[in-house]
Amino acid sequence: MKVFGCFLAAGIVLAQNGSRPIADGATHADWPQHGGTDLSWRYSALDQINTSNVTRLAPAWIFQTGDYEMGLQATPIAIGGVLYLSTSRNNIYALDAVTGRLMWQYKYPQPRGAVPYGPQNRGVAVADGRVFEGTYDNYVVALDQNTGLELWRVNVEDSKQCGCNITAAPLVVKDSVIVGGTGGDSAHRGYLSAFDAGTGRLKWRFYTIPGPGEKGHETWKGDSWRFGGGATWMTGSYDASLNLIYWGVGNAASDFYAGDRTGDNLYTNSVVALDADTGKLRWHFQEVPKDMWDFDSSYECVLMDREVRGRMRKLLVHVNKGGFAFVLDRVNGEFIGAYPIIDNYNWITGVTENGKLVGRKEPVENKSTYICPSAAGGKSWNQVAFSPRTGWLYTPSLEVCNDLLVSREDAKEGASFWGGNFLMKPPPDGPPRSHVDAYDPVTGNRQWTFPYRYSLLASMLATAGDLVFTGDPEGHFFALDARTGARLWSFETGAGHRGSAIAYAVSGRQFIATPTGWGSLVSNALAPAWPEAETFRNGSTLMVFALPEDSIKPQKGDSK
Amino acid sequence: MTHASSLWMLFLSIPALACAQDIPARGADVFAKTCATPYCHGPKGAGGGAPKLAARGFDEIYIASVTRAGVAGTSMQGYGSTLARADFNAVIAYVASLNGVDPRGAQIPEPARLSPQAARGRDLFFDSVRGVDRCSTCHQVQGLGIAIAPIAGIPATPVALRNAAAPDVRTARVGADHFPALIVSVGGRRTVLYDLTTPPPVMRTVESAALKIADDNAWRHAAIVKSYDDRELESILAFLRSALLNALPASPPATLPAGVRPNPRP
Repeated sequence: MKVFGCFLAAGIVLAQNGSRPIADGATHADWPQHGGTDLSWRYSALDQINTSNVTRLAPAWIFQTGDYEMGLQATPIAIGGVLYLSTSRNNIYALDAVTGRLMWQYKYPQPRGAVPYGPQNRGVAVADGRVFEGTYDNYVVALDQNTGLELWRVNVEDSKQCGCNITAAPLVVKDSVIVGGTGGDSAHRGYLSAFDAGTGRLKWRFYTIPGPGEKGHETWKGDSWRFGGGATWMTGSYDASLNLIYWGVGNAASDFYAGDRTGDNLYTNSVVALDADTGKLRWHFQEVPKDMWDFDSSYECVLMDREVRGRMRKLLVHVNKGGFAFVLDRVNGEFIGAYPIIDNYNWITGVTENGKLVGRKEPVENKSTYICPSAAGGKSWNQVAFSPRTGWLYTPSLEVCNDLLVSREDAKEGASFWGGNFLMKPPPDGPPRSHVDAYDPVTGNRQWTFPYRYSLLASMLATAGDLVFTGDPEGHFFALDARTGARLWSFETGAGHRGSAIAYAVSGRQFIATPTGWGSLVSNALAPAWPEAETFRNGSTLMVFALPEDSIKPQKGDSK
Repeated sequence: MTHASSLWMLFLSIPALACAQDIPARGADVFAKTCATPYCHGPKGAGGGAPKLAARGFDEIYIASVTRAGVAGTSMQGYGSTLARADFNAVIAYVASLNGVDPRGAQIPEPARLSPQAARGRDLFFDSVRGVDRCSTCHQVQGLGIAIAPIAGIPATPVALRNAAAPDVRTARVGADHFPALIVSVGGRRTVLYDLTTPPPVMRTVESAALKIADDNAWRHAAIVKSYDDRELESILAFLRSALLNALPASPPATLPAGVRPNPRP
């Protein structure tokens, strides 16, 4: 039955490719954007490295940044034979993608004081001869792509006042640098900002919580909208044909106590579609009204065209922290379906065919409430991948629960605003653990599972070699067979994995590059779940792999 | 909120009754809400993403200094000005108790209170509802806000504040683009300046050879003080007088209004 499902899915892909143009989110020689392309597939069309030869994959070169605070969480960018890599403290390195030679480095002037959420960075954007980065003290900087010299910088807001900073990679759309921020666990009102790529001037700002007089404002009680969360702390996607950007919006605040914000709390825990030129809201879909579990919907939006009940649809697939994947029509936000990507969930019993949550288990003030998954998420911010060859979505999942302790808290702008606390607990069905799964992205039919005993917090990378790459906290960087989930190859890199691997090619040779170095708020918060977490090692190294040079055929599709 | 904790808050809100025995309990409450998530110090300071705080041999002086100032480069912010004084002292006492130190209670007196008008001015100065159209987009007071233009003097009236000219704001031309600019530094190869076209100001690095600076000095503070009416500006000025009176020269230079630093001309 399972095998039959595989063939069926593959058949659909071929039919699509043969008959009509569909959105192509594959990367080729370059890995030009955070999610690979605008569509955030994290899929490379390179196939020189494939299921038949991956066992011969070997290190080509290694770059150590020497800046290992909070691990290495970035997605490198590869353009024209140069890699651009950022560390958690916002230093940036331009590296020769074949040899690892340092071409330039940008040493970020470190903040003199403490910064909310601390140093973390998930990557840069490169476009129009510039490198863009959001910083942990809440600046956006632009560098000359060739020299690393700073061109402009703008302080988005005083991080002490907003209780926010920037950890996500920017999204560049035409001449706009679009940047989201953290702040969902602070007394903060989230927003997205667009800056002119050339001058750094603010072009527009979209507040995720409507102000007085705006539609949706009525979903907040009293003044709660002023500090109601809705941070935009990961990177969005873009559909050029619709001129829409899509962004996931984080939890409502305070995280666990909702008594002061009765209502649906729009547009927290939602996917929003904005006009790419003006930042005006076109549609929204709220996945979790009145969040009480810290279940951000801030993660990546994967844009794909798939057949739904016999009709080709422009879709957006979005996994949230509550461990559910939502499938939406990205033209109008219509709900198409939802399915869990975790085994242990009790905060709801399910989602109706209209997209409404059923059987909410709400934490009770001043009592302990056992909730699955934990506030760290059924999935963390490490990203899924989508392969058009298999037609499947590859997801990392966490089977960890928590006891939520809820207590009312007064909002003070910029200060922490949890409204309680959480204590990690094992799930009901066994020890805390992780898994990688392959799903039909529309139906949610699980194709295979790769189990793992600790926390998988690195992104998925899918390639046309029918491989899925990711890394684990013990240091293994490994390749799974995209069709079976069998582990085909593994290499001990010496430090845990929290970043996002990429594929690129130069002069006919395919490379796989992965950041290594354990760190981040979530990896620390999950540590109590496993005594062995003491041995997960920090670091800050880019490991680059390729097949031995004497054994390869030139990679098709390489621009060089 | 339960009946018991409501009573607690009522009890604690009466300062005369906040005797030494209550402080660790209040500190435990503050700690639970502010410090104890697994991302930070964990319940009872057992450790999490941030270091363990229990049984570390810390004394009150060390705990207070770190808690007041924070730890640079980390998410450990300074709580010296964000926590109410009584809460600050209570949480210090609580963490001290986790280290086997007898809590001695409050050591730091409450800061002087602002007048109602100045307090309102403070809220307006930092008002996040106005987005970027607020004073703290360019000015820092009491460590909060963005220190782009230091406040060198306080105008007497809202009218003076609006009309204030700024001698070091010039017109910069880069190619076809021209904009009001606050010059930061001028070098042989590169000039650094703030582009004031639209808030927030953008610090730009421009090739000196490609830059022309016109000495027209036409920019006025009124160009960006748009979101406040005169009554609101009165309150803001009252706040600045309270907050900065001792920090500023006795007689500020008449030519330098609010928002302008003395700046060497290129």
